[in-house]
Amino acid sequence: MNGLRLESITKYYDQTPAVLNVSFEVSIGDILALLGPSGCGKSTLLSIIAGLEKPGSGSITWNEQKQDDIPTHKRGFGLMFQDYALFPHLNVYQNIAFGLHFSKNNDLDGNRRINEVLELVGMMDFKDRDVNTLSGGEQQRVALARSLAPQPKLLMLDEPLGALDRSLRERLVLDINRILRKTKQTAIYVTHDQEEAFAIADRIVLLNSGEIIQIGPPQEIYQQPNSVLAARFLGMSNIVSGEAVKQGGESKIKTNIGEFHIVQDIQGPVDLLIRSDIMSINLESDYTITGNIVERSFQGSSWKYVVDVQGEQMVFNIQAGGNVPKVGETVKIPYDPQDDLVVFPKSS
Amino acid sequence: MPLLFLLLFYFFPLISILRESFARAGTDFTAPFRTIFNSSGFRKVLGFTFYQATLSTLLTLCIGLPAAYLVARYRFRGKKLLMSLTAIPFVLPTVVVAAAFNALLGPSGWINYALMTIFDLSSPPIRVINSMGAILLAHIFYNTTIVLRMVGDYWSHIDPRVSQAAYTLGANKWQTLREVVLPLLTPSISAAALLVFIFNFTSFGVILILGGPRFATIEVEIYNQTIGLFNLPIAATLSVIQLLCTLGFTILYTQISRRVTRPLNLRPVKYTQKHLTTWKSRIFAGLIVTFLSILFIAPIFALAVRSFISFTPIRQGRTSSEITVTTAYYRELAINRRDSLFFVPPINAISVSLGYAAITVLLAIALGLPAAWYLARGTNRTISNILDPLIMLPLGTSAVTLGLGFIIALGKPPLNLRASPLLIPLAHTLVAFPFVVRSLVPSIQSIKPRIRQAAVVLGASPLDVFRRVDLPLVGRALIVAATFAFTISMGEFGATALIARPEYPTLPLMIYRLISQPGSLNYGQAMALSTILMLITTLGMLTIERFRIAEIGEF
Repeated sequence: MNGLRLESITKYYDQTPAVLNVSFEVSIGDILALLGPSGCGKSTLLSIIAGLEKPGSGSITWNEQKQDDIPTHKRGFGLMFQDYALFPHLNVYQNIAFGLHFSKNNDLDGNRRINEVLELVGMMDFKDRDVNTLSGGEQQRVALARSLAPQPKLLMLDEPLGALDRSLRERLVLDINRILRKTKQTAIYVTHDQEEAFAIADRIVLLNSGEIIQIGPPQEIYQQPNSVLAARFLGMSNIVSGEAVKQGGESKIKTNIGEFHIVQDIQGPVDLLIRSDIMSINLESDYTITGNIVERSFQGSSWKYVVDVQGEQMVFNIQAGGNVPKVGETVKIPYDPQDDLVVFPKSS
Repeated sequence: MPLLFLLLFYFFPLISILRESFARAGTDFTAPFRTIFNSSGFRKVLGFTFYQATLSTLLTLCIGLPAAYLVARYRFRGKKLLMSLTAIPFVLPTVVVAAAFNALLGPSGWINYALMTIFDLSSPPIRVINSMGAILLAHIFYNTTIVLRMVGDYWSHIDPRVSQAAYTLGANKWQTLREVVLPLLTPSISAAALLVFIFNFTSFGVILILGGPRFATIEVEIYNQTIGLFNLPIAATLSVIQLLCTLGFTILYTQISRRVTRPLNLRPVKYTQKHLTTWKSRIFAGLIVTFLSILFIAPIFALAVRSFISFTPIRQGRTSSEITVTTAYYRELAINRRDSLFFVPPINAISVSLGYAAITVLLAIALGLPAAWYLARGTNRTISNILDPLIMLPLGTSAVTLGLGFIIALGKPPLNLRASPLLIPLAHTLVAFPFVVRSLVPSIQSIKPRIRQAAVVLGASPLDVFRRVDLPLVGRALIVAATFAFTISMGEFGATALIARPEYPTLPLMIYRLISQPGSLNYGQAMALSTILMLITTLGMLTIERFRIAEIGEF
């Protein structure tokens, strides 16, 4: 296949595994997001792909060619670092020119290419600025331009927005998406923020403690997290244990907080995820959850409710506007067994 | 008072040097310099001064930079020990270092002894002493630490990801070093190199003792012209040249070191250092650590052991000599032999030095405390701003020049101190003054006015406040300052060599005399005295380390 392939990459530091048996592929032109909490091995994985660190075992291929013995500077993989690692002794223009200077890609007309990428990231007016005087967002753009300039076969971005504040992040993630798509850049985007990953990726690799939990397109991962761990990492917290049983042709899950109707044909001990994105409340429905409102906070387009359901605290997002219940009230929250419940059989 | 002291014993002698130099020139200010530059002998001296300083600096960089890379980028066991080893040169007076290298590499040193024994030779095969090699080696010994610490510290805070970024942009290791790492390090490397160069340029004891009669720098030539030929005008002109050069270098140095602090994404060491994981890095670390250990420990060890060992000279029919352990050299120190030099037992030098050091401590504290107090507390900013750099000035002036200034200025009326026992302590006080003031100022600043006000409110008289509040708080700093003064006085060689009277030699002078005389007894006694001096100064520095509160800053 064309593109990047990782086969069973493993790396230990001292005795603890940083990356454990990781395999995945990235096709040419695709953007893959590596999503996981900090310390899960994302950055180590990038260093290994870039050739800055050697894997303990496993191999990396590009277009079916082994990369393991090729030094970093000959791999042609770009890497944009977490806090950019701009060269402080060079100005904006010289920083971007650096990679072109060493690039084997001789078709590139240096000066034109630099102007092109400066234009792309919207930093044309900053050409001659000292990089030490740039703001965080500006540095981020220069770093992106610098790594794009030599047209790397693969561009890796390590938490490119991690150091920036929220509003800037939301804008820049769209910018990066647009820039990468426009240049059809094959890319790996590392982040701990699921919204960023959802916004940018064709496929997501969920990583925890150095191991892959799940791989798939964003929508699939969101709708069908394959484990409690995956669900929790995606910010879904309404999870209860229970027992799936069949009663009169209907499948049900009995839990401490009541019974839930499910569509799956399952029996035995399970974990049950109840989605929190329920659009409206107190509608007439065959299936409802009843509880007392403990806490609510306004989120702008929605309200976030903490509801006590027979001793379990559950979180629900409810559309703003209309009749909004207050703390202390009892509410009936409808659910759809098809869309709002995810069942994970417990492995024995 | 401190100002008067500087005026009288620093500026007056310097001006006297200027007067002496230009006295016979009349209106033509270039005349004295023309005398110097027209003489091929002096041209050689000037040339050699620059040549040896440049070469020493380059060699020091060759050793210091890889070592700086090691301590900047790696964590390993024994690193702390290595760093304290590198502090050794700061502790040792030049005469001791010279004696130590002599004990290691000299004609009757260990390496020659070993080679002669193994290969059955009748004369020492290595003739390093009285050669360029010995000078370079001693300079490397002294200055590697400066490069290691200054560059190493800066390097350890540079983000390694900057280099990694260069790799991912297609630059190989060599290109990254050239285009990224070196440009980033340039300010710190040039600051360190310039400081090392200044030290090498004004090096005196090392060249006089290890270089022998064949080599003369400006410093040594000033000494020779003064002591040997008593040609004061020439010595004075040489001093002026020396002063101008060091002044120029010092200005350059302050310019460069200001640039070192330019904003950079400096990162804590936690993120920039890694363990030695690859074999290549382990071998590299092993080589550097071994080399530095040998460089720093071997001479000292050779010196201390040599002072207890007598080599029986090779006699006819017996090619191998014998080693015997003996305390004879130490016992001989107390004996005034009829054939010994100047008819004073060498042990006297210890009491002479201790006496001078005691007076120096008193003088330095008496003058340094008010100066420091004024700098820390003074309300008049302009006076403080003038005083601060003035106090540092003697640091930038070579010791030999100070000595010469004393001879010219204080040897005749109105201020005739030539015969006074105060002359040497005064010179030592001048050298120690900056260190004393620098150690006192931070602790005086640390006494908040509130604390003293609290004492007064509680009923303490001004005397009580001084005794019960100020003194205990400044006490530690006073010990540090006093020890600095003491240690500097014990080891001072350059100025003392010019102004000491032959019948009262100090410890370093006595070592110099003994080591430049033939005879194994003289040599052994030089080793013994050097070992004693080394112990005294080491104790001094340990005291300073023990009581020091804050960093004293860079000198």
